Amino acid sequence: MMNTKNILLFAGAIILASCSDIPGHFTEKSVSPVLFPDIADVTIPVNIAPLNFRLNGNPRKLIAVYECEKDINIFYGKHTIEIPVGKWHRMLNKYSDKSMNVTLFSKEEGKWIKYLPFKINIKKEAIDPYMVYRLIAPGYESWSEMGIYQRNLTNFNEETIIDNRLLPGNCMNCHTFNNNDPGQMMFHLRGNIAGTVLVKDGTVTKLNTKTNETISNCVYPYWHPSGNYIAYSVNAISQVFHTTREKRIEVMDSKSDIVVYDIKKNKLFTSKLISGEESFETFPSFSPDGKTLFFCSARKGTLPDDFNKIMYSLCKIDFDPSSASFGSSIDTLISSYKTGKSISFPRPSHDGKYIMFTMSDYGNFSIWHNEADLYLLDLKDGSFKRMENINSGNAESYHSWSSGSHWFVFSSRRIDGLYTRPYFAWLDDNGEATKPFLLPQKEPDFYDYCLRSFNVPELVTGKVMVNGRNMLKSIGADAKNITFEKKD
Amino acid sequence: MEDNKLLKYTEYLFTGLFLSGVFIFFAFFYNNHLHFEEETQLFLLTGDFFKAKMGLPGGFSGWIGQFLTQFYFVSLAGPLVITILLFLMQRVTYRILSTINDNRSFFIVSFLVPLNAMLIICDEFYPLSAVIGVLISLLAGWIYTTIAGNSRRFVAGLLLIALTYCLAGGSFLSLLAVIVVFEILSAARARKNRVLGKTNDTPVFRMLRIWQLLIYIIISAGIPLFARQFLVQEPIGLAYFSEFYYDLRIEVPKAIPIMFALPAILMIIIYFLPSREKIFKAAIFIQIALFIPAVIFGLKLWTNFRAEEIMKYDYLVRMNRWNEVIKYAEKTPPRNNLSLAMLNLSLAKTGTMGDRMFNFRQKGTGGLFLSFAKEYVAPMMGSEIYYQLGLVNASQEYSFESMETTPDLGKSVRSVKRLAETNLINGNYEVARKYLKLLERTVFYRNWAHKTEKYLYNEDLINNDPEYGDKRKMIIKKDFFFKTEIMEGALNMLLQQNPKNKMAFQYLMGFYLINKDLRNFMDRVPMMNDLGYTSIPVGYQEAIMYVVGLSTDNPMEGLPYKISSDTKLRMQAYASIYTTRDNAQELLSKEFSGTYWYYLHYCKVDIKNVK
Repeated sequence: MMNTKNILLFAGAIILASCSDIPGHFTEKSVSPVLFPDIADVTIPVNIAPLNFRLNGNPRKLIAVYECEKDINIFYGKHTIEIPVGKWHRMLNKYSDKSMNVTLFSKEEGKWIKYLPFKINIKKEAIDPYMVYRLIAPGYESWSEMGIYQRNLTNFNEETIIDNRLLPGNCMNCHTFNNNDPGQMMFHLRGNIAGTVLVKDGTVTKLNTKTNETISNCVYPYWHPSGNYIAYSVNAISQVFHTTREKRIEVMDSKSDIVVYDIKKNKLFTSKLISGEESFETFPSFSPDGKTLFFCSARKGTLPDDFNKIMYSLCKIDFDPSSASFGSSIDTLISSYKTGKSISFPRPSHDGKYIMFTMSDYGNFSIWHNEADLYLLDLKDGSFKRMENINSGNAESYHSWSSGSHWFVFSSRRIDGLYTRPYFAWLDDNGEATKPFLLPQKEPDFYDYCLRSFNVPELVTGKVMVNGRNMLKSIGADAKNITFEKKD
Repeated sequence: MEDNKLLKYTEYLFTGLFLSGVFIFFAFFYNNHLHFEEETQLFLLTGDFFKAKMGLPGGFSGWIGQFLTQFYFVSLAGPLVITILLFLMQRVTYRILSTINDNRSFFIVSFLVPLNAMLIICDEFYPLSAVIGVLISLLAGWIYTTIAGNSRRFVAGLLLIALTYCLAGGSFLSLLAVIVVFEILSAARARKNRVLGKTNDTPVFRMLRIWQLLIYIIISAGIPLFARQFLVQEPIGLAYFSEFYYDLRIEVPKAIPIMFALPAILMIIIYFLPSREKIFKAAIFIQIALFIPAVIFGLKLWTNFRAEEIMKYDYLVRMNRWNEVIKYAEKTPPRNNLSLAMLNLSLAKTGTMGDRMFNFRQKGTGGLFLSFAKEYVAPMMGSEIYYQLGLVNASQEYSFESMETTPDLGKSVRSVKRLAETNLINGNYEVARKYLKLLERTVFYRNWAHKTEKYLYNEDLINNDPEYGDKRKMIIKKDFFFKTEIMEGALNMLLQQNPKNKMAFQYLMGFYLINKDLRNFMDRVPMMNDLGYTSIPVGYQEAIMYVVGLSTDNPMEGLPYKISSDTKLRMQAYASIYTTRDNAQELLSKEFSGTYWYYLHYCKVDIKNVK
């Protein structure tokens, strides 16, 4: 029985046949096309760049028919479908909160084949239009070309924020933003001009975050929503290299504490509850109201011998931003004793409903753990679940929420098990995520030849206006020392 | 007429000799440098690769340079490429110099530019794109000097400066110098001619030229700043000199400005030489007489034959030409740990490490394993050792590190190939596929990549492959953390997990012998049973005989091996000299320097703590 859609498609094909070089005859295959990236049945924001793709195999010609209600849009290609940005956005705007049916015709060995159609669901809610990430080879101790870049998610433009072409020999990492605000940013520089670069209120300051009282320079950051504080972990990090084929690298902390940087007073402070000798604390994050500090904590172990016995629980402590003080006790939200697993990267949604986190078998450097998956904690009832639609057989690790708390980006190694790529998904009001889609590229073969990982993808609400060149004077200056205070 | 003929033949002969010399030098004396350059780049024949290069100032010369460098893979193709480029360089330089002084007697001066280029690329940090870049600027300079009309030449100059910066990067400064000098010398000549009453050139005309020069200089100063502001973020020095002349981005060596200034300097020199239509035979002889020492001095200054030796060892190992490594070592013994490590690997691969290791001067365990260093040479060579030992992850790590420390921020085709192999052996097929796909976009590794792609997900094919199957058999099943400081433990672990790993056995025995740790050495002697040894390697015999001499027990008891009578006789001869003669070392060094006994008694090396 032919339904309306099939009639429309058939009509479309007839029209195509009459106005293009497509033959009227084709063989219908009852299989779905194998596409890269896999865009079949994904849900996308209304403002995302065209989901260009290729059909795996050896197609000679491709025709993609995008159909929604009575409209038909047709795109042609050889082995890829690359859609003009303007035309794509007109389609998405027109079909927002609807689904497009995509039917693919492929000419293979002289014959046209029609594959089973698939859907692309369009959400009216836009994703934050920019993503900032670090590109670096997934290596061991050295790095070649690397830097922090920003990508306009509505098209394919990528710009360099800062890289080691400008600063040869240096490394930059841990870029982070306050509430996705591109005007409030920080990142670390390591190398001969080391320091923590803080961008706020239009000024750029380089800080020396190492104090005599702290373990190390400040490492993993999270902004307080007021913009007055940044929570950091301070970690003694080391890495070792496995010899069996299942694993490559183990990155571990032999010590770690949490400190908070008071931007106005230029001072680090902490509490003995989050900087104890007997435990490791890391990955701090503030609740959207700024009154709670979440973090990961594990009982101290001897490293590297205990490397696979260190497991981090998800904990929280009250924080009073007006007095810059901490609560008197720590609550454990998810205990590693109960899960038998280890938590990293707790990231609260901006609406305060959830915490998304990564869970792996042990340790905290989850990107090198194939078993690492994303989980969602419901802060209302304290339940948590594995995000079934999101995870793969390879590592899922870093993640960042869009301002609306529905869209999020996460890093995954699902394509080949080594090179980290950013994926996006939508979380509905019931806490269910849709099938994720890969960051679109103009040329679908892009990822085949890209030898760098996308690290720490952070969504931001606009373009980051500073860059290495205009920050050069501040970066080249001596870093400003900061003081330290330990509170009871 | 006769003089002209003589000059013509001299030109042909000199050009022929120069080009032959260049070809012979790079083909037979410096060829491994070219192989080294080739393996440390990854040139992809893709639109994206071209676009990425073209997005950088000088990217075109970078692209052409890398395109041509890939032909260094074929031993004689590299020298041919260089010879042709230098020939073109000389011809264009000659044309430019002819516009200043057309007396052909001074043609040898035009060879100084290609000579300088040839010398510079003897240093592996100067890529071929430096030659291409200078050649492009020379071509632009030649075009400029041939344009007659002043205003047309001015406009062309502006366009050529911008275009040369775009295509060739830093050598636009060379073009600027050529233009400025050309204009000044032309003005000077015009003034001279006016004084002589040959032209009626006016002061206004001369002023205009000064303004032109100022505009050229201002434009040249501004273009890199514009590119730095809107195209690529890079240090100010690099914005002017660009990144395709010297691989280390942290500095601009003096040789680069000298190279850029050379054509203009030669223009000035040749301006002051006689320009009459007369052939100066003496001048030719003087030039030749000066050119030859310049070549010798230049080669002394720029060549590095020690590096060439290391690169030869490395190249032969890369090509698995193990016996040739040993033959080469017999003629040119290793002078450092890099070469020695490659020799020891070749001895182990040919199964002769136990026999011949101490025939060559050993310098400690640093000549067995190469420690990790944040540079690209030692890790790549180290990767070969760990690969052959079956430490696949360690080989992968070293190879990756080597690739990431390639000075020009590029990738290395050799590393990518090795990474494809290690991932294939480890069963990480999608990562292996990624690297193979890259190699499929190269000229010389395409066929290998296509062939190797068939191994993906084909366990039988991999397991039955002589190389990959062998590595699979040696693969480590029980995990431990690797670093070169624990090599003894790693080798013991390899042998424990696979007692048939003869490579690991040879290295372990070599490790103990080098460390003069005969107790551990003797403990491992019975393992030879499982490894299919039919006789004891000579080096081991020597060590065993030494132990026998010190022991009341017979350490060989129960073993099916015998010490050869030759070793026993040599031991007696050695011992008699060692125990009776005051100048024993001197005497023993003549006949016994290749024995373990001599090493044990007289070679001072850093002994590793053996656990």
